Amino acid sequence: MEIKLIKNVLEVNERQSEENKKIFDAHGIFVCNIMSSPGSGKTTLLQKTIPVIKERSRVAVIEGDIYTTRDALRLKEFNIPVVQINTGGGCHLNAAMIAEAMKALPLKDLDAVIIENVGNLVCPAEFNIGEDEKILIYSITEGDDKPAKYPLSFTNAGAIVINKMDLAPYCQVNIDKLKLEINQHNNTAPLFMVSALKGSGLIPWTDWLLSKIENKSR
Amino acid sequence: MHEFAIAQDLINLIKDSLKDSKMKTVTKVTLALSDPPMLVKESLELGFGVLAKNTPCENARLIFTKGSKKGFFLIGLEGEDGD
Repeated sequence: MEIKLIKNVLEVNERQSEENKKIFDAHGIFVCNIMSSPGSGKTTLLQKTIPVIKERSRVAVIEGDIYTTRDALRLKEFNIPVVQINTGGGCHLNAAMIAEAMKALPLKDLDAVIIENVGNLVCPAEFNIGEDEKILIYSITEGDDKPAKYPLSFTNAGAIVINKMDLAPYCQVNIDKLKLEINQHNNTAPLFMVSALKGSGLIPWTDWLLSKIENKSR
Repeated sequence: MHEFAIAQDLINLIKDSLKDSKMKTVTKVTLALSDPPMLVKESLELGFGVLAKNTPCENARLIFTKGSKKGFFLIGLEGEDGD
């Protein structure tokens, strides 16, 4: 015998993601899900971004990490709510983890939640967690050939930040080719070329983020 | 890396789908996967093979088809009824 059906295998996560988003929306909170390979500079970018957006909005961070609290500790100086999730081996954050972390956040007093996902260029792109935008941080040291190798991370991104641009002269990377390849997978996401460590190119990025936050909280 | 978790979700979904059916054992599971795929098929098969032990889909084969809708869907089950 045969049964025909159409059921989303990821529906449990999708349902929870929608629930999370409803709660964030009800509070007017803009939520971004920061994805990247390990070591591409997500936390360094946050260290440079938070002081700027904190001047105009109330922000919290959910830090995803397989085992440690190192990234959360790096954000301690900003005196904002930071919730740590340790996945204990899991390669991405899922919606249920975010639902738990939300309980520890003062949602009534927030305009934005930045979620730093586990460093991984594959899995985080596949799981919605209740965010408004997925944001891809890509290190220029990763070369110009990765968009085609990891397409979903690029396709699903609402914005793409190319980090470590100060190292571009030392890498055998063709920036025009990289831009072209990104454009083949995503021609709508704004592209920001920055060096978080040196603090260069950050204004267009923080302006974009602030406009998203302010549009949502209105 | 996450295929084991997805395999468990798939098995739970199959069990749920059998609740209102006469089908007691599943021999073929048809899946629709959009492009680019969000998982490694071989890893899913490995996880499914391990986790399906002692379930109605213990001996089921996974058949992957290309789906037009974005995501990963269970679209068909073949099997035998319990009579």
